[in-house]
Amino acid sequence: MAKKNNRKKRKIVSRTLSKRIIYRDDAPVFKFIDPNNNDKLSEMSGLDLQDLMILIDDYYIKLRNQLGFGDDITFGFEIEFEHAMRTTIYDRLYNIFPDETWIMVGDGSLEAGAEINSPILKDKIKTWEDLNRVCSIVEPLAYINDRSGGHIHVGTQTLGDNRDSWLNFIKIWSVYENIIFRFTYGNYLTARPVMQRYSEPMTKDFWRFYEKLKSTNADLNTIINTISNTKYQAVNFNNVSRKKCSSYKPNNTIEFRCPNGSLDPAIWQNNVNLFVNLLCYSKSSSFNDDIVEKRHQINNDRFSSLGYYDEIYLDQALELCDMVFSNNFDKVYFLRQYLKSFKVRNDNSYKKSLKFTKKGIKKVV
Amino acid sequence: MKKSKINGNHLTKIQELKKKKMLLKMKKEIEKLEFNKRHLKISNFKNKIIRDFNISMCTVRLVAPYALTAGITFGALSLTPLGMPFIMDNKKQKKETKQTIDSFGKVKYEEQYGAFKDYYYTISYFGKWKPDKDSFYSREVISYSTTNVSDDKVEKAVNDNEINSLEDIFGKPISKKTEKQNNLTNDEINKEPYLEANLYSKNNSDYIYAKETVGENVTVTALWLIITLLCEYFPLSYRADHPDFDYYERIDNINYKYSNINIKELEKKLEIKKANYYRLTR
Repeated sequence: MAKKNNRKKRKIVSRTLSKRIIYRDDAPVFKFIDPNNNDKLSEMSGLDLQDLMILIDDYYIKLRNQLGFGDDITFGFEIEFEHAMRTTIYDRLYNIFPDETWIMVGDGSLEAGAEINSPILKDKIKTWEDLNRVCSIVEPLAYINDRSGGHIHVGTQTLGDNRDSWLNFIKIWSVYENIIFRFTYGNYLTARPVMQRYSEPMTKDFWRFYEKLKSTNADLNTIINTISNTKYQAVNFNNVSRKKCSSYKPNNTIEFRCPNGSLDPAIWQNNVNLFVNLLCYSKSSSFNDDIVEKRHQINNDRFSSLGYYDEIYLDQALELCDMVFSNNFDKVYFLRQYLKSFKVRNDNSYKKSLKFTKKGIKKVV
Repeated sequence: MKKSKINGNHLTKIQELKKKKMLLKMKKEIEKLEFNKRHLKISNFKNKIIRDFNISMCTVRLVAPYALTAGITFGALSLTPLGMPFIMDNKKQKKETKQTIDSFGKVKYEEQYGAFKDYYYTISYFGKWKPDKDSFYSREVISYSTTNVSDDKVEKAVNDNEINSLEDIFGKPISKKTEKQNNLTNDEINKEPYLEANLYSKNNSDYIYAKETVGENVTVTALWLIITLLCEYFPLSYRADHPDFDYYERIDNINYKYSNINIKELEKKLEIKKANYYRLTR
């Protein structure tokens, strides 16, 4: 007689996952909310939210060994750093990657710095182990400074060929850019000083493009050409293949330029998790146009300068993470990096937040 | 929503305290912004006072090592006989005497308090007047330096009219010139060659106090400037090796933190803070 399968099957509602991930974590925050559920945090009562905020603040995020992406999702990193002992870094990198898959190149925009470009990566255990190794090599031999960015490339096939997906993406980016920016400041409380120059915010432009492209019923090529204004914007579409977006060409990527530089692999992973989930949500049938429209009305052109992105917009952040993530574990990771212990910068310096990550790799099952 | 309990609550006592602190902080921030909104002028005035004070302190910190160096060199120079830079000091002027003697026994004294501006330690040979063109007469005047010769020897040479031993006593002449003159008296024409010398002396016990001249003061001031500039190398070098004080960055931060409150920005910030607070307390 066949044994009964007594194990509870946890239903994971996911738009991005094709891998089943079961999160197990004994931290108090995951006794408060089940990491594998997809609770509507934006509908939580104030009292519960207070408790959740405190529990999140006491939680330190770690590099995970998997994120749950399908094999169709590819990404890459450009790890920039300054005041570096470049020869030593190069030698140590070469020792670990003699095939030069992870390669160090010069970058004239950095002060005595360089950048390490990853190969095309997928969500594998080895990817995160390699990222961890690379960050460990660089960390004692370089600094993250005013000019260091943390660009992430995601394969355009993630968004696909559907014009509506693209319009959804620029719409959601326009409306939630303030949330995305503060999140991608990483362990800093504000944008790096050269942000406007190398990674210009796009909230107004993207909305303008969205309205124009929607009303003119533009085709995909026109959409891509319109939004590929310049390389130096928060999201760079200049590498996108015009012939077929969903093709797996090495350089067919959407480049996210807004993240601040970091040598913390947990932050890199958290950033890529947000971007991939944003793209997948834009593509999904559950894209909630009403919420995004409503939020656009509430925003009401309030972001007249980049300084406003430093503030915490709690309601809006909860709304975004409810839309984009499909499990509480990802949401907690997102909120921890977004809230940064509720600290907001109060002077003009490029200040770090309190630490919110821990070293080591977290195994998810 | 699943709620597990830790010690009867899902928060520990420390976490409960942290929660209260967080809400209190948020509330205080809102109250501060509301106060600033109601009392915008006072808030801006207060900000200006704090901002100016902080900038002054920053400037003092920037300038202090250099000012201190300048002060030390000023004090050091003031202790020397050169006196203080910039200030026209009262300087001790000793009585000086210039004595001119010649081989005919003629003695002329000039006395003053303070150094003679132009004085030459010389003995001069005046030759006999000889007729020249157009009823002019000419004579030779040869001068020798007496710097390295004692006053006694100079006096003896003049008194003894030692015309033929001048080079032996005083060395090579320092100048040779020809004087031409008309309307000479017979006594002058018939005068034999003679020697004339200048002697100087200083009386240390006879002096007065007088203000230094502008030129002297300018010289002392210029000297002080040069010494100070050279000494400033030390604090400059120390700062370069220990760059923990970025003046302009600090000023930027002070200006940012205590900038004049813009009412629109204030209202936006207040709206954001209130929204977060109300979301947590609804």
